[in-house]
Amino acid sequence: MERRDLFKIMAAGAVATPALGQGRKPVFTPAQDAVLDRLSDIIIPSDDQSPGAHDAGVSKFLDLAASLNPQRHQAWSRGIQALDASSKLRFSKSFMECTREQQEQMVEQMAQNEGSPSNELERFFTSLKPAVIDGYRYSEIGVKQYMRWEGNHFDVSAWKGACNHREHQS
Amino acid sequence: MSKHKNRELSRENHTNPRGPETGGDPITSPLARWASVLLALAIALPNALPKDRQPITLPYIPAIISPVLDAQKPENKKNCAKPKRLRVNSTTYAFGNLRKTRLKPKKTRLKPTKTRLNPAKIPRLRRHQPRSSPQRRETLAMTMTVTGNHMNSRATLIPCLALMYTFDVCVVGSGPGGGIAAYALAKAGLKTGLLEAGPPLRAGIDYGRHGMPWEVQEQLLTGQWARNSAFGLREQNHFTGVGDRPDHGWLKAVGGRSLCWAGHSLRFGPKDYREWPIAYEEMAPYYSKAERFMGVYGNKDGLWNMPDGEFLKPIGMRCGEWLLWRGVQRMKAQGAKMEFVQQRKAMLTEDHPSGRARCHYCGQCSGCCVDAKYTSANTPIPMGIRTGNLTLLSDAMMTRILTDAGKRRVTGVEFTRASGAVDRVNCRALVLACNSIETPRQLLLNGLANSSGQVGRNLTSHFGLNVQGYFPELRNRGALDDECAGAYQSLLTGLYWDKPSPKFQGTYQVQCTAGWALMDLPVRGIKGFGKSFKRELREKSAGQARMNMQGSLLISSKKFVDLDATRKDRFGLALPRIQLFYEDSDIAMAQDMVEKCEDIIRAGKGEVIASPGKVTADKLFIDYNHWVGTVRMGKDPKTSVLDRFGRSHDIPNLFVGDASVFPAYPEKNPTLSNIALSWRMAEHLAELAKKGELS
Repeated sequence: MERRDLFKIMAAGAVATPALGQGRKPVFTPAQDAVLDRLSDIIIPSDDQSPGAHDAGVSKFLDLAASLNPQRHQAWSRGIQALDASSKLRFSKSFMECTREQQEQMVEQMAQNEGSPSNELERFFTSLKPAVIDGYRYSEIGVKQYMRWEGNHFDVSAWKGACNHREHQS
Repeated sequence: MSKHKNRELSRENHTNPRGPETGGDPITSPLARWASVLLALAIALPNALPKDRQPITLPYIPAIISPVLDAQKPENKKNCAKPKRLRVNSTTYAFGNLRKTRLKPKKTRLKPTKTRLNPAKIPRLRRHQPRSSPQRRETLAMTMTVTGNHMNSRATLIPCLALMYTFDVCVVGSGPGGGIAAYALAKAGLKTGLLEAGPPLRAGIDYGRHGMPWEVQEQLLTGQWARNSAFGLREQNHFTGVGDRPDHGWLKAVGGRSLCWAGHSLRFGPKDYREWPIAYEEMAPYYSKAERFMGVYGNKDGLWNMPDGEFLKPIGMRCGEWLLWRGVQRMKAQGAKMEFVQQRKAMLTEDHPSGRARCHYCGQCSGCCVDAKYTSANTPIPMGIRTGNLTLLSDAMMTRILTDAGKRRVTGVEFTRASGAVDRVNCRALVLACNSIETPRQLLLNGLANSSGQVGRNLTSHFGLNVQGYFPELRNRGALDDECAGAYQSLLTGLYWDKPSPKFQGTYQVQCTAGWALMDLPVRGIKGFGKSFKRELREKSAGQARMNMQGSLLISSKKFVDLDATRKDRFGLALPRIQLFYEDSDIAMAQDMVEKCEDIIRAGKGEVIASPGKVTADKLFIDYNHWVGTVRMGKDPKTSVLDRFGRSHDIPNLFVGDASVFPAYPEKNPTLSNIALSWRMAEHLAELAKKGELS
């Protein structure tokens, strides 16, 4: 089994547990959700250390974030439209029909003027990226596999100290 | 049981009839009217009326019965349709087996005791009542007040006996200073009343719930998670700020800001006491006593101006903090005067006589759910109540200080309950421990103890800014247990102790933290996307270290508290106005700190990733929890408000037990010294009472 597949299985278990968005209707359509999912996975992809945003279920977090803020929902919906329009212009296909490489090229285009966005796509990226980071780092994968956090032992005797590296202490 | 009853009865003998101004509760049924008349007669007749007190006017309904009357209104009837049993929830003060009671709130079923009022008419605490509804809060306050002992949750509900409060000493404010004063006074055998403006809160239930980020995503997104910390419940819009963005934190709850404090417990040193009317040697035994009582962990570092205390075992530092320590060692080797030590906090790392749980290092300390952190609500107040001498009146906001005609002595205080009912307490001595903004405000409002004109002056606090570094050698480390026991686990200190700086007055310390934060993003603004971005975000988060300056603000005529002439609070009292303007000395101190911290990060082979650079007043932020100095102590009644024990020069039975007594402010955190001083003040007060100098 590939390492990546192993991650996927672990992720499936991890994502299934939280009660995120239970009993709440998603605000994005399945097509929009697929675009957000792919965008987040391109921003934080899987690597040999930890699974990426797709496996961590970041698109669910994005949906939750949009459901709490109608303005954000509208802005992201417009952004997805603009993205599709732009990819049709560039590759004559909608964003989700493009290959992963083409999609990454699209994101590169969006990320050009990060910090001082000048068009719809760049604004979309600037607004989406912090939410993707938050969604990833608040996920169980983000905490436990990405950051390798080991804290919060209810067994107080399990505490070994925050730093037990002799080389740092000399 | 009988002992308890005796206590209640003995209080009855001390009761005083109240003035006509305190009536005014609606009387909704003839039964209640008759009951109140009978009650008042039963209490008033056996006591000969003292000549100096106003005669009682009938009919008169005590504030404490108002929930009963409310319950008889038709719209509230359904709440008490068949109340056969009274439920009292007393989880906050259950001692000894904290963990168990926290996780599963204990419901004690009690049979109604024989009372002159039908206890069936007292509204039950119902689950569906919103937590903040006045009725619920009043009921909670009532059960807490009249039981007089919620340690063992045996409620003897005799509300009629709680009509009037007469104490030897009344302490106003249940924060770190007020809590310890109330405990020390009760332990010394004085009948003590503790007035608290806020409600009792239960750790782990009303605030401080555990949560992993993926379980509380919605709360994180909406900002509700901040309310999980007790400090999220703080007062808003309760002062007027003038100048450089002053701020003030005020938590109205039993325990006050000790519920949300970070626990930093540093002794002031001999140098710090040079400007005080007290010497360090005089304070040392009180520091030891306080540390033993609270449970403070720390490392014995042997620093002359931050003396070692009686510590529980230390918990160490994080990787990044050790690298800052390394930087400091290198700078010391080149002749720099500074020390880098482990932080000392009032949290239990070992078993402790208080019976509180040990810390499990979840890092959610501003609302400790297991009470491993010392708060007034989990140690001194329950222990004081256990002595049988302490009565806690929660949801009771002091709205007036009562004095004799010449304002020479305090005779009591008037307070307003959550329901709006006004009540009063008579006392032989009054201890104010409201906080460094509220105490001077109350004195100014009442025109008391201010012959020196110093009330509200000499305002100071801590101020600071942040410098962030990154150590590439930590980039591959896992986040391990970076939460520890709260953010700052280390402290850069010892700066300018021996020789003051020529550029600025005062001293500063730098609190340091490092590594990854569970509920916050320590590093922001990394450009790009994809694998390289992902790696960089991880490495910077794992290897970052943040240094937070805490400097003592220069005391000057530009910083003070007075009353706002236009804005009033909901009790009709003028709000305080806080004036803050940074001086050149303050800015020079911050500039010095920025340069020192950048040097330390580089000496530890790190790189500076965030720094204010050139400091200006708008980059500084004030520590809104550390205000002190507004009711200073001193030897000369012309230049100070209080004597060296915290007793007013003008009014011999008025004392102050909070941090506003500080005449000068070192860089160290104020709470431990506040507790030690308040304890000393309370023992002095008890001694005076024993000598008969109070009445």
